[in-house]
Amino acid sequence: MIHINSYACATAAGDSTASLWQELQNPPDYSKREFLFHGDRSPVVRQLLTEKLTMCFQNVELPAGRLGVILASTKGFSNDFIRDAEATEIKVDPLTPLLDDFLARTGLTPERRLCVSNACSSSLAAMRLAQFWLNEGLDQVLILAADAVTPFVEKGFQSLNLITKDYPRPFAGDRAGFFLGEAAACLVLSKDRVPTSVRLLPVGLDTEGSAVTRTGSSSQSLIRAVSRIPGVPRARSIDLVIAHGTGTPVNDSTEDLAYATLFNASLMKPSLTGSKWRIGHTLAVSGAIDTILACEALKRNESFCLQTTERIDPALQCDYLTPGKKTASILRVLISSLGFGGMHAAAVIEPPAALA
Amino acid sequence: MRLTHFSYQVDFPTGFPPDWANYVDRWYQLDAPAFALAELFWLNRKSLMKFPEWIFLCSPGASNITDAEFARNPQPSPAKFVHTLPNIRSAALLQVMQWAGPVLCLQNDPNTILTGLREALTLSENGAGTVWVASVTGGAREPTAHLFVIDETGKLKIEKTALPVMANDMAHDNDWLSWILNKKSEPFRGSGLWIE
Repeated sequence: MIHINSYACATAAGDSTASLWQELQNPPDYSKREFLFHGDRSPVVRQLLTEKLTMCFQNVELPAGRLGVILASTKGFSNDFIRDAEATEIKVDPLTPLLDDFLARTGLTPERRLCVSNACSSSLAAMRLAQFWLNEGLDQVLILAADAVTPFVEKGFQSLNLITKDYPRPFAGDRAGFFLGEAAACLVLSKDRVPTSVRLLPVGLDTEGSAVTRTGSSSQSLIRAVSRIPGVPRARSIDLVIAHGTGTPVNDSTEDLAYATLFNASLMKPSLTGSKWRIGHTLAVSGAIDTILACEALKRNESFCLQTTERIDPALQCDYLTPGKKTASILRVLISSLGFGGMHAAAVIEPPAALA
Repeated sequence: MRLTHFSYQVDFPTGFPPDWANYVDRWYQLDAPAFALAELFWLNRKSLMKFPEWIFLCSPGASNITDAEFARNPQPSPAKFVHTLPNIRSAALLQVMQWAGPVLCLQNDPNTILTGLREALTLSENGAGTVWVASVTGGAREPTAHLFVIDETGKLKIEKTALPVMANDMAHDNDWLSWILNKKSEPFRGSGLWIE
């Protein structure tokens, strides 16, 4: 059994998990538009992300032992050099030096280290790799996740018309996209248990190979990813789903179709919620952030709502946590991430003493 | 364990539709690495009938070349932007294969491919069955696609099904094989064009 023993994050809602949880309990003040670490963009991305990861790392417990470290990111610090360099001169991927910087700054000397770039499902993919490593003998794996909103990334998402012009409202009938957000996160995975552990079931991954998300085929792919998690959905019921929930028409329809299909026969249907309405779409980090929120929901036996979504799209079939709605009790939480390239991932957490 | 290496160098763009055009919607929007991987599979499809349980996509330099092309273009193309995610180059491969399953996109320059091979071998050894490592090296005009097929049958040996395109690789097979099988994290110290 693999456990999540410690975690920390920094988002647009503050530099702690507690501040993020607090911010998710209330309607946002979009006049501030706080989705970036630094509005002036003065530090280069490599330095900025290293600082944020190091700050998160200072807030996690990492016992001594055989260690692995995995960095999850979509673009790393590519914006720092991509505009100035000739392509033929660029010899190094934009993630590995970031991991090097982090290890140099923290003095960690892992036995195994790697970077994972599975688009917006990178964090959950990194957790699957960590589970392999732990089963192969490591004592703990530190997952790092970081992405910045750079001019390069903004230009790209604007070209795709995925950025909302007013505010994000996932699963609403008039949803029109998301804001991009910056975040960094650390999670410590281990086979050992501590008093605050939650159990992480084997993460389910599936790639269907389309360049972008498409509702029909991507729903099937997400269903396959969820179905690779042992016991889900039949033997292990799900109380809460923290959906990817970008607020784009295609993403939200994809998830709704997948979960309506998966839980069609379940007596207790899960409630769906999401976090991007408050902190923006944090790309590769979103899976890590939502896993942290799932751990908090489990420990607090509380959920959080889609505070900006007043009316759910009538075409959607699942139960959503709109403002004022709550879940009864939370024993098991599912997290999903959908990535370009049809890279889909799902994870389930539960208390350590739950059904083995 | 058996490791079989397939490789193919593409002149890109080709100027004519590929034989697998019907499998990939808007194939003409693919970038060079995505095109090369799909072409490699198609040319060797009869030797690649046993599909993998996992695919590791290992791209030295990630999507830097495509990123630079996108950044230089004053009128950004959505199709080009999608290819600035290094995982996207596997999408056309999967469509041509008509396969869906778990894919992990790994980076560890300058040892991205070797690290991917080591991870794949370890995973296969631990019961995952057949694992493929897909990669693309070279520039935007003459990319070389690689598929390394690792399966659990027989004694560990290396086979090649195409002419080696990487200088020194015959001479250094033992060097990098030794590195792959070594579970420590020191960078690979040998030579060869994988180590770009």
